[in-house]
Amino acid sequence: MFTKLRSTSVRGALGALGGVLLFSVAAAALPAAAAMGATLSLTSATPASQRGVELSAQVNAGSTPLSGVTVNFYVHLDEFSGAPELLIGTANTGPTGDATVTYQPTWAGTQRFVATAVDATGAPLATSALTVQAARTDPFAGPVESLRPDGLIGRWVVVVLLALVISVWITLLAVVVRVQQGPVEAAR
Amino acid sequence: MTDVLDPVSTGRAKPGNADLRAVAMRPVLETPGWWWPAVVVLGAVVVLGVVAWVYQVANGLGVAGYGDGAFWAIYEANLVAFIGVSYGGAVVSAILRLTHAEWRAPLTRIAEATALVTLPIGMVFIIPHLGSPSRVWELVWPTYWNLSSPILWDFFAVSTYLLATIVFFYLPLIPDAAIALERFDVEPTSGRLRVRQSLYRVLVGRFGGTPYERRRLNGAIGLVAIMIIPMAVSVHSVLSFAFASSSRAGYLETILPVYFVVAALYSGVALVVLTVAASRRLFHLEAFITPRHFVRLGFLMIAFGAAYLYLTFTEYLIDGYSGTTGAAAWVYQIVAGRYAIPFWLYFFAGGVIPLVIMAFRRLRTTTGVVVASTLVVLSLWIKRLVIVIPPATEPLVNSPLKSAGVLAGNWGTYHFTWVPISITVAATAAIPLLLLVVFRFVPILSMAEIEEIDEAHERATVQEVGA
Repeated sequence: MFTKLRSTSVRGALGALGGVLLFSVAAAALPAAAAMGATLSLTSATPASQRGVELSAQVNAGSTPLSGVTVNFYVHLDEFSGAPELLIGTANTGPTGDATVTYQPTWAGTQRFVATAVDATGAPLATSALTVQAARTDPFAGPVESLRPDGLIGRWVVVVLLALVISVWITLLAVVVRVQQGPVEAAR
Repeated sequence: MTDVLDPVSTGRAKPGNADLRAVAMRPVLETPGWWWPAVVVLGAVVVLGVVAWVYQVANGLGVAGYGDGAFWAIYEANLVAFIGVSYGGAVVSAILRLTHAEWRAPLTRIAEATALVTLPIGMVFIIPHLGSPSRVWELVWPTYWNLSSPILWDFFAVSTYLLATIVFFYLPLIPDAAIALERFDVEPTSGRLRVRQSLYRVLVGRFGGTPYERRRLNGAIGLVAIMIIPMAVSVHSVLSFAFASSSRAGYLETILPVYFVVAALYSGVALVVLTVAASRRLFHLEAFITPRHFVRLGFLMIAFGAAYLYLTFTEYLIDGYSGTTGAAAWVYQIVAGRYAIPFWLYFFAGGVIPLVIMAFRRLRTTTGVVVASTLVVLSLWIKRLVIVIPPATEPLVNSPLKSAGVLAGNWGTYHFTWVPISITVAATAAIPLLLLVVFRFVPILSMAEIEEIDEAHERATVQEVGA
């Protein structure tokens, strides 16, 4: 009986171990399998704040949304040679497979965005690009803006400074003209 | 007269007006054997710089070592350094004129010419800085103006200062051009000199040299001298706004405007010493520019140098003492970190050694002052790199991008490449090149000014004897 019991226990333990192993292998294989067929679609929208560009990446394995996947968002630059993609944000996909960031462009015009889903090691799973006609937004707008001088004061400062620059130019040129006048005034 | 022609320190007899005019006009009338080879070599270096810039335009700022890790570097340092040295010439001349320091007379033309050539060279650095040359148009054309940008106000300030520098160079030149015209009217001129004759006619205009006109001219020079000092201060402080109005530790410093102005004066006086020394040697001006001139310029330079050392100490002390995250990290990197070697190089070569040279009578010779000035010019350029590069390579430690691992504490690095080095060397070569060309057309000494001071002294002596 003891032998039978021991044999049953060992068999049960082995079975349990096998089950755990099988589950682990299956769990490990699932993202890999999902990753093999991962697709990413990138869309843009205007956020509720009406400021910037809202970029949404939908990551799916077939028709199944993948949650918990890291998505990096980049803007394509041609200002510098070398790596042309500048990282603008990172987000993880939710239960619906969506990852969203809001970007505030610092210049207006056609801009190309790239989203890349990566696995835990940072290896790319899927990528997609999108071209958007974006308007420039001030990234520091909001609480900081209210601390800036009033627009009216700013305008007057500009007017005064420009007037100062113009008066200096006029004075310098008048000095030259006066010296060049010759003996006309001397004769008076 | 006192120091203008100092027989005691030169051991030479006091030259008369005829000698003065002959010496001052010699570079205009005669071509020394070394002149053309020097112009060709310096011109070739400038052409190499232009080639490097064209290569950069074709391939992008990346070939100049710029990138996300270092967005500002050598061009911005050059912009500050070259415009800075131009102040030395103008402000030194203006201060000495307003204080009636008579020993200034043989130096003013060289000092003002130095200001005149270095300022446009410094302004040119805005072009490689902007990347594409088309952006220069966007900077200057009114429909593109961004009035909230410090760069636009830099443009207003520097172009106004350029006009003032041209006028300040031109006004004292009028009576000298009249003297040169008199000479050309007496002696027959060749085709080469006829160009200069026409130039002098334009410069002189209707100026007749009567006492009334001389008084009016001196009044005008005095007015421009008064204007040019605050203008120089405003220009370099506005130049610092491009840095100080940013949010980066190391740039966001209220002391920066003053710091920039003092650095400009310090390096500017040093460059005046170098150009005066080179002109004295090449054009044989020893009878007019004496060792005492160098010592006095050296004292002026070192006064600015001591102020600059103090401001450096103040800046780092306050930022280091405050211990705020960004500022403290920046100070540490400069004083003991990755930028420690260039910083301490500036400190000793540009701060301590010139002070030591000027402190001891035995070292305070013409050679000593020239060595000190050379160290100051070079080390102040290095100091500009230390000002510009560290904040531009500093990671944005509090950035939301930190979590992405891109900007989380990794300092960027600026790598010097042959492109900006070639452009910098070309700009440096352009200074003597342009000075050589300028002094082919205008007298190297301010003849009328020296003669005027001389006559005033003679009148005073006669009055004393009469009394």
